[in-house]
Amino acid sequence: MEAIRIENLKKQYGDQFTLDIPSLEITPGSLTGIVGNNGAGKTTWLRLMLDLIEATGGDIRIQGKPVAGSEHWKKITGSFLDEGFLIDFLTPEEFFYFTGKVYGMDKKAVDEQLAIFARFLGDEINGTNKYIRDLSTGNKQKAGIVAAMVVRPELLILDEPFNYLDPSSQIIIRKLLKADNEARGTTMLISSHNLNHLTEICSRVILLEKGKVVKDLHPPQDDLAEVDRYFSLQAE
Amino acid sequence: MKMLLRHTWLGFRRSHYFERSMGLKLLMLIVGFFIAGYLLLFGLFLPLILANVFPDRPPHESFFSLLWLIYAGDLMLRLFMQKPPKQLVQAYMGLPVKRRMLARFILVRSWFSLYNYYLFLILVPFYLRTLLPISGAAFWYALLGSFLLAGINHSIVMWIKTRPGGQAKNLLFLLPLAAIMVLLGALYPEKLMDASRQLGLAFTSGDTLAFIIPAAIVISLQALTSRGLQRAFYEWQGEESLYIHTGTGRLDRFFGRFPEYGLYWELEWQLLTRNRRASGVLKQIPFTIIGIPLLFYFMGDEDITTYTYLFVLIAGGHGFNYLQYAYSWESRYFDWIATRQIDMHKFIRAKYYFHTGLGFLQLLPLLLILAFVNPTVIWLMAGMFFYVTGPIFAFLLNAGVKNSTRIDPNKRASFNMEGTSGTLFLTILVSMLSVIAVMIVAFFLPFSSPVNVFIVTTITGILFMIFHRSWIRTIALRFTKQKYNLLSKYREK
Repeated sequence: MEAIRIENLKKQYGDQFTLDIPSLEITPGSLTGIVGNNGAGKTTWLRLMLDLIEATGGDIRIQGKPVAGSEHWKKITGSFLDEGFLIDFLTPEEFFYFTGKVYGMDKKAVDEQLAIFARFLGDEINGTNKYIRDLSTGNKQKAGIVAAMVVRPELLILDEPFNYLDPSSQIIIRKLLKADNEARGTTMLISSHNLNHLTEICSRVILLEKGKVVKDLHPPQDDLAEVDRYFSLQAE
Repeated sequence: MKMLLRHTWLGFRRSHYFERSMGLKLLMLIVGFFIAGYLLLFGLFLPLILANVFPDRPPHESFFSLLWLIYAGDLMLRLFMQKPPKQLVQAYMGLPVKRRMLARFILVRSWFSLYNYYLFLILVPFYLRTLLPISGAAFWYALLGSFLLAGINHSIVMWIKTRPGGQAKNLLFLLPLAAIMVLLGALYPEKLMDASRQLGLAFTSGDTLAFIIPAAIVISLQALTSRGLQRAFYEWQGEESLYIHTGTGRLDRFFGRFPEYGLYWELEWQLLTRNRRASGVLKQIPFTIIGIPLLFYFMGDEDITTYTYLFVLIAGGHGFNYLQYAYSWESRYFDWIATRQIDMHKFIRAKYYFHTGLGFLQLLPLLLILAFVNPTVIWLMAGMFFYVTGPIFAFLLNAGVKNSTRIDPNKRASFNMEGTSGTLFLTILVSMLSVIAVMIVAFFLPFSSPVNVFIVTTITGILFMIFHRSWIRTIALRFTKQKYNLLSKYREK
């Protein structure tokens, strides 16, 4: 069974369609990147995936069951879209443990997972006794990504995870995502503006433009330079 | 300054509160007119009342004797209710806008607070009837003097509430002052009243010194506030808060250990202790435990009905205050809640147990002190505790769900103020009005007051407690249905 199935998904604001995807399937264990210019509908899609907004039409199914109005997917999904996904009056450790608890993990299990992210987190996040609200934007981003991944989800949804990260952290998280995807077969859906990051790790890249899927590429069969050319043309 | 004014206006004009809730605004207007009319009439008839109570003295002199009490009460009211104006600061910090200018702007805005003018609804008709017939100058001088006294209270409150370091800590500054006032009032009431009368008379006679001293106090406090505000800007930007340590977290862990609800209680406790606004509400608990018995000590036990109304505000303890903003606290991280395995039914239930428990812990020492101060009110207080933690808590939790502006993840604010003041007004109004129904039912019971009120409030409260799972389930369901409405509308804009 496909991990995610989308049928006639539409999101309309006023007269304008922000998202219009007639049909799309995402296979289990795939690492799918969503690229597109600002306003292409990437975040809207991810918000619909997480049932944070209501679709105008159509539906999204995770493991065969509709996402809208249901809860089953929450058990298997880790996500981080923006700061609204952080409980900012907790310290990062407290947030990780708390998130772990919600997913039924004990402290030891969370600690084991956190060890994997030790390099990514660096020494400015854990053990500093700072609340999340007092962290820099980059460190908040790191805390959000780790909290989404530390629970070992079957489906991971991240919106612009490379934003605000320093170059080293961008490389580390790329490797961590790739490793987790290969080792555990986590299905990943990641949006980004940065093509370089996605082309390096994704087994599939979906190009969105004005809410529509304009390219659906499967490297290495498909040449991802095509996406680059597309944006160059748009820029001209 | 012009730019700040324009931004303030735009912020007000474009707030969701301005765009929505026409019905609520209309209701607020009607109630506002009602209260204003009530105060005006009170001011008109006050000379007659005072002439009856103190026949040997002109009404204005009797009134001046009570000035200290009126302004002490006004100060207490302001300390709990008056808020500094909400001002966007951080966005201007990176711009060539002087901190001093921003601070001054906030101070100027603060003078528009209704708390500075509500007393004039009584004072103007009162002075019109008592002073104007004596002399026009006396009327104007008295108004000016009264404005300066209001200005002192205003300046004290602004100074306390804008200083860096947290409101509760700053309130401690006032404790010795309050203790001296209470002591003076208890030991030398005559002298205090006489001094107060002299001050009033000095105002009416246009004594320059009587105006200069309060004006100097106001100016000094305003200067202090301006300096405090400028320092507070750093704190608001988080520079100082970077060094706040989270403490041992023993209580967090204690709450976390409870089966089933531990997860939610731990979070609720952390929210309560780490969100500045929420912790401010929590830190009022010791003040209420001391302040309420003092109030009952001075009030005596003649007017049981007044007590009943007062109890609505205090019997639920911290929870009555806190739950008026239910779910606003979660606004910032509501996306997290919405995408995790959070059972809304259990989430709200945990909230209800937590605040009922906390209210009970607040009630116990209060009852113990009241046993010595005013035993008559103990039973009423206990009955009202059940009433407030029962139907009133249910109402507050439900009102939060009905408020479509309560959750606003786009705000990026630790606490979403949007729509809270309107709902706050409505919830307090309905809570107070509900006491009328209690009184009516109590009236038909074959028991004398206050036993009848105790019976009605206790039974109603206990019934709500017994059936709490049922009404909380309804609220949770409504919350889930409201989710899209709560989450999407701001994004759609």
